[in-house]
Amino acid sequence: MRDRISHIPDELLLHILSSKSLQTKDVVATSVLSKRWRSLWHSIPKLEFLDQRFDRYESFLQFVDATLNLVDPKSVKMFVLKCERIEEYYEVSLGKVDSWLNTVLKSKLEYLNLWFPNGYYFLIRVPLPSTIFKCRSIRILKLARVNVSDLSDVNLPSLKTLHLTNVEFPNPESLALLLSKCVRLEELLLLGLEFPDDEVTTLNIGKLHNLVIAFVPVELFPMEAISNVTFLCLHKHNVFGDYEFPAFYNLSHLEIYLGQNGWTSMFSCLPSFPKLETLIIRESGKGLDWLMETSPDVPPCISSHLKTFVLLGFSYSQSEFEIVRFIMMKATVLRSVIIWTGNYSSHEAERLNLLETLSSYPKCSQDCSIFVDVPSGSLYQNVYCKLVSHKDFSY
Amino acid sequence: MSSSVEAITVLSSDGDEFKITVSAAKLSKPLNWMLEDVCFSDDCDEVPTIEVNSKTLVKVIEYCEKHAPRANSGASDSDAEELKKWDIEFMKMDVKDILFHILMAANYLHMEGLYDLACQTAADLMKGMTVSQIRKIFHIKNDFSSEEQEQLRRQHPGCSFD
Repeated sequence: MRDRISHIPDELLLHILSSKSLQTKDVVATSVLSKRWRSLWHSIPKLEFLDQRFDRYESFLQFVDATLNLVDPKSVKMFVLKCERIEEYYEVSLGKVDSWLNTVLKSKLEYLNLWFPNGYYFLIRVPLPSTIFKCRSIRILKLARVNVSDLSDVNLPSLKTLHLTNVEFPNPESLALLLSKCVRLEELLLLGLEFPDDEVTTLNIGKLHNLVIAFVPVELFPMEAISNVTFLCLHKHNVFGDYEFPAFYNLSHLEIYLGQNGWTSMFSCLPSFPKLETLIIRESGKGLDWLMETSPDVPPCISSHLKTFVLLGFSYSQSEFEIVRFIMMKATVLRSVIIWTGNYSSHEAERLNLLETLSSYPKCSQDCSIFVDVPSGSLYQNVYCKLVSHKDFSY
Repeated sequence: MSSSVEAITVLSSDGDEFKITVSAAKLSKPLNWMLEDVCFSDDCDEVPTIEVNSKTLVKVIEYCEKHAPRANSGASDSDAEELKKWDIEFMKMDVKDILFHILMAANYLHMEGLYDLACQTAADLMKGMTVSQIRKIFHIKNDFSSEEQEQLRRQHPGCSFD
């Protein structure tokens, strides 16, 4: 039979090799298929190194070295490094990470994702070379458990997505400096920022005009700076009553932890989000202060914009039942009420029982459907995916 | 073009005629350009040829017709979910024989969705396979001498080539 693949141009084969289901280890292995394939992968745009795919951490280090030796740095656009076992050879790894980064940063890198563990025997915060923050081509930058010290010369004119998880900065000013230089930033996720000096003050930054998606600690951010977003996700410990929310005219998606907030204070903030369409509340079981009798005025966003109402961590409290009843009664364009009990072992009968109770409530929107513990990957996921998918990297 | 035209006729590279609705043809940029061309006005009999063989073109048109309603109007989440399932099934059918023809056709017709789907399917066929299994699936002939193969192995420590 004919060689099915021989008439395919290199460019198309490289696209196949860059697919998300193949890792660099699989890609490099294709060099022994035939002479044609031998150096084909050298022009691969995507490099993804995950140490858990290797039996020994040492062979992983050798593999990355050897691969970066052969690959054409000009073609590399995406670099992903995940070292779960970095502790095994910490000092050696630090040197390697530094030299690997210096190799790939010579290319027109567009996507950089570095992931390190928290450390079992000691706290891991991998120091990064400052060249990362001078890479003019980078569009997406995701860093976890690294240390950023030298931010004297930031130049990231293409950066659109920035995710920082447990990143250590010398001081809040350096973070503010970094953000102020990311003029095209559209998506910002900040989780567990660390400053050696514990005193945390509000960052001194101007409005991030292009920001669309924000997952940030509210105490660090002047609300005005992020008020252009359409998607806002607040941290667990953020307490509503402590903040003045300016009007978020573009905001359609709000995700919060009810936690200590309580229903009443949450409701009092809602008028700041006049175009709210999706409201997602985590730890809904913790809010105990809701009573129908004292229900506040219906914010206009609830009565005329809210389409999706999600409660995650539903715990069958009286307040939760009352809030669902209230929303269903007042929201005129509501399409879905999504409830997650998080209790995966619960009996189907229990689930149906809850569904039946909620379905018996009077609905002001006839299009409204109720979902209780729907399989993962469906509805709620879709809402989020729709928002972020167009920003995903295409390799 | 005339607004009365709802479907157009095209020829495959084998010379067979195929009908494709206008809304489905819009999924492909080159086909869309053809639509605006004079040859689809009512008084023209010329049938344009698409450089794709009949077996492949049937599949490409099937894909276009299925995806056209969503592409043209935008659809709900449940439709998107359903379409994703349909895509998986579409690629499952004895398409393995013509997968690379579909890939080439999608590239030639500038159909991003089908192109990505075909690339993804090819990559999934390779995933988790040994080198000899991949050779078998794609009928790749091993033209290395054993010395060359040994040399390659030394170049890539930590990588399994079996």
